[in-house]
Amino acid sequence: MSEDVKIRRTEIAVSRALQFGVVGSLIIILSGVIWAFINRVRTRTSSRLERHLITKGAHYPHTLSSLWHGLLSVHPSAFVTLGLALFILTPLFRVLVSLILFWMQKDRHFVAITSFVLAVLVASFFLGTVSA
Amino acid sequence: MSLLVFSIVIFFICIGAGLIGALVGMGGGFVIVPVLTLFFHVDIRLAIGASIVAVIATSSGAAISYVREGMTNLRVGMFLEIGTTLGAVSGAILAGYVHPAVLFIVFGLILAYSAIRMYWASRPGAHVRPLPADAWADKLKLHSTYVENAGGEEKPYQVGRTKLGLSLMYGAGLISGLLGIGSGVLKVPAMDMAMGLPIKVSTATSNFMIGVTAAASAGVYLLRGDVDPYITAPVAVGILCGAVIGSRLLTKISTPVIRLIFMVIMIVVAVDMLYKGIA
Repeated sequence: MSEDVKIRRTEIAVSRALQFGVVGSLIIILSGVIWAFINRVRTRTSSRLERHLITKGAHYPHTLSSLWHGLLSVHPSAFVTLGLALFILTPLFRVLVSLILFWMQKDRHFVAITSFVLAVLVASFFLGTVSA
Repeated sequence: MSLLVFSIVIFFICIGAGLIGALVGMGGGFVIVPVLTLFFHVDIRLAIGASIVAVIATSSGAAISYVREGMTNLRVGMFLEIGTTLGAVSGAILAGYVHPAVLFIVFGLILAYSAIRMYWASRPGAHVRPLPADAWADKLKLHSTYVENAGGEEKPYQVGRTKLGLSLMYGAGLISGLLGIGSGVLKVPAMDMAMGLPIKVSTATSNFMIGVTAAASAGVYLLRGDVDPYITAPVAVGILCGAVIGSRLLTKISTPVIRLIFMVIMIVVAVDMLYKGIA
């Protein structure tokens, strides 16, 4: 197989992986949002109370354990957060898929480059959490 | 304003931001943060949290068609990410030691200079010398082809001055780490002017890169509690739709128009940065 065809195949596989991740997380986000609105119509929440949801100090899950609890107690905001978390992971997913493909193509330079980028990203994520 | 109206209005504004972002290779944070804080009185922290997810939405939305069409140069993007990620980490570490006002001025001047150079190089009758390919680009097989206009032929292009490009990306990452802003506006000129990539390939590749870099910081914001689901969901969905539309439009809009849109945004951001530095 020629080099160009190999590169092209990598690109198409990465695009597919990405599409899968984006559409999947989008479905979760949208179903959570629609569900939240249906809930609000049913319980007739006032717009003042609603406003509270988008101001500082609003309650929504943002740690893994609170997300887990929210999902278990079937709370719509937990589903939106889950969808957003998966969405945030899509670029990393893309890097990971490229890494596997470079590996399969025995492209040593790019296996090294991609692993390095991934390592710096993971490190910066932990650096950020520590300083926060 | 009810939450439903808020969501719908934000959704439509973000379609526009995503569309432009996909065309010019930027995340659109400079549109979303002011809109959320000034018009909707959203807390600045939550607005920044939403805008960083917006960067990912622009990147992932645009990438679906760019990567498939071969507009994104994945190899150049991945290689340059070395510089951007290292720069961003160094910037975040140094952030407490450097005065932001000085940085805003420096950043504003760099942008203004780049805009002038870009204008000069693209004025009618400008003589553009193709860059000679360099050894690194040959070894890493960075050269590629792209389709400039829908239905057109594949045009080959060569990548040059790879080391300069990598250093500029380190600088772009450093500035974004220090100032907490996206750096698409710096990445595009570095690829377009320094490395000789076509402008459309530069914006598409910048789109790929901003998403990768933003993912790590978005994770941090999410765990810190700065990503409010009810603000971020309409932003993410709107941007995503806009980016998908924008990326479909790229091959239909002529190269000079893309360059013009990019230069106008560069000037606006430069003025904004200089103003922030002086004020």
